[in-house]
Amino acid sequence: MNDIRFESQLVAATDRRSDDTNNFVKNTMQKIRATQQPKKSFRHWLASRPFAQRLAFGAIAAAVVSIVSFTSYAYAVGSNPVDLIKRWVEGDKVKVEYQGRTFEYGKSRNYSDAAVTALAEANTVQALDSRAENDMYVPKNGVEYVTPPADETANGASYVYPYFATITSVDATTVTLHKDYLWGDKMNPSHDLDETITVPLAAFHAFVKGEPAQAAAAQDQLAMVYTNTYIRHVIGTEQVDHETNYFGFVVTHKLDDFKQVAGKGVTSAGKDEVIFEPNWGGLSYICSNNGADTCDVRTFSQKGNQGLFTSNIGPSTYNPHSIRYGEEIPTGGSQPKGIISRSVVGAITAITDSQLTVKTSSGALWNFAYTAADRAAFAKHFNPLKVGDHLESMVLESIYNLDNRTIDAAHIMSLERY
Amino acid sequence: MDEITTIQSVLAGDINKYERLVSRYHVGLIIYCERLVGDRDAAEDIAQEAFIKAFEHLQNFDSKKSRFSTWLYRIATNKAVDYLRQQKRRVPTEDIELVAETATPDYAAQDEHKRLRTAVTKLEPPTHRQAIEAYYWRGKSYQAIAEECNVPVNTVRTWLRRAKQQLRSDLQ
Repeated sequence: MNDIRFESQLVAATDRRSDDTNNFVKNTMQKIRATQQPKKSFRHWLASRPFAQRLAFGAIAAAVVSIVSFTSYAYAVGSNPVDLIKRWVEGDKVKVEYQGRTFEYGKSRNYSDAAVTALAEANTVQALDSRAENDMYVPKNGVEYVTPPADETANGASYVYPYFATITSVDATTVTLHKDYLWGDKMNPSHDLDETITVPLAAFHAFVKGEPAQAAAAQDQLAMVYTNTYIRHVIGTEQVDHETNYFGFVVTHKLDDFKQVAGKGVTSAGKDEVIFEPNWGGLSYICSNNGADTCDVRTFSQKGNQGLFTSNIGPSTYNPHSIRYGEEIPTGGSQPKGIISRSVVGAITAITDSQLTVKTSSGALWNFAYTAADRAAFAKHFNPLKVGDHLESMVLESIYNLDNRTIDAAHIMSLERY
Repeated sequence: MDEITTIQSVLAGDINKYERLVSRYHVGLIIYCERLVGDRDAAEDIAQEAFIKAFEHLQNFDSKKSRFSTWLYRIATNKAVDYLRQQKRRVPTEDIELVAETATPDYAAQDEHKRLRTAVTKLEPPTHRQAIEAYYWRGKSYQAIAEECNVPVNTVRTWLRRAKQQLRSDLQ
């Protein structure tokens, strides 16, 4: 055994690692928290691509599927996403087709044929919800929404799972829901609910057959409901509020069909593998927490990108001097206070001895503190920066100063040329 | 909580769970990077960037294709190679897959880990045991251990070299 393998075994042999938090771990986690976006997921073990770090890029092309059954083949019965699910039965197996890919549910399954398409519908709804929630970030009518600061969410472990609810009434200002069932996962078991809530009509986004609809069209129907809280910012002012929004998708299957497959551990490879991927084609690539601009996630942190900072390892994407704790001195915790991260991507329009100006897809001009010394250090490794170069950045901003477009050195988390 | 579940939790929004992965792998990853680039500070930066990049791209991690550790080590290796190229140095080659797999705590049988731990406790003189524990289990650098023990850095290197020789001998 060579030395490095022996050393690796030595490292692995400790039984104390889980308790060992040293400065490296703390520092790394602080950086990660500073960039984190709250993510939500429903049955990530099944579907999907949760938004992970770059929450706001999602959006999907409508997809999928039709419903039908029994013998040998299936046919599409409509054009809305849910109706496009295809399912057929062959012997002991039920198959679901999604955009030319077939997922097979073998005889060892312990749920009904109908549950198979219910599962497909649930995944389709998940994808539709991703698109709907993503659209929230695009500024409209002088208002923008951003995710709450990490200090509000990191300790709260923002699991947001959908629940099934019946829309029991809709009036001029409110929507009343009766919660029936929580769709959980390994960490949050599914279970029955019996709770009635009333939410503002303005904050309830109804979808019928996968398309936006009036809430009244959902009345007396079963829906999968997602809840998300945003920071609502009136652009051009310091006015920010928290606002909870509800996304209710009317479903076509019965609750019992969903219940059968809730909590099934079906991601393991095998005959009953039922991973069902929503169609992520046609992404709109809204910038994370910066819905006015578009970012192409494919450009981020790719090989060949050039970090604009310098660390012990030379060029670095990450700013070693970025603020770690937000605007406050930490008091026992390490969460940033009132700080969110935003993605900014654009082309350099001006370079001075103190800053770079970048124009984004919306035409906004962002100024990044970047000195002549920084540029000289960068130029030791790469071709010098010039007007027209494309940059991508993650910046830190206070939720009370969201109109700020001049970012000082402490609030630039990462910066790279691509 | 197993590793896949931890990753699922992170993807579901529980960022704090990622600390488990950082805690589990950082010591081995730093040592691994240090072996590649020959510089402790650079190794820590590379390891940290690898953890951040892995976090940013966690949704792309496919547990069916590789273990998390393998994926993480590959990211770190790429960064180390970039660093060495910047330094115009030759890039060492190692069997990344095997090293990463071996560094995974669940890889070897628990009995084997127990044997190793037992052998470490029996190391003589005690400074050898302390050096192994500090370097491989607590993630201390040579420099930090030297300062704690008030000895030159080269003495720490000697302790570790002899301790590993003794362990190899004891375990054969």
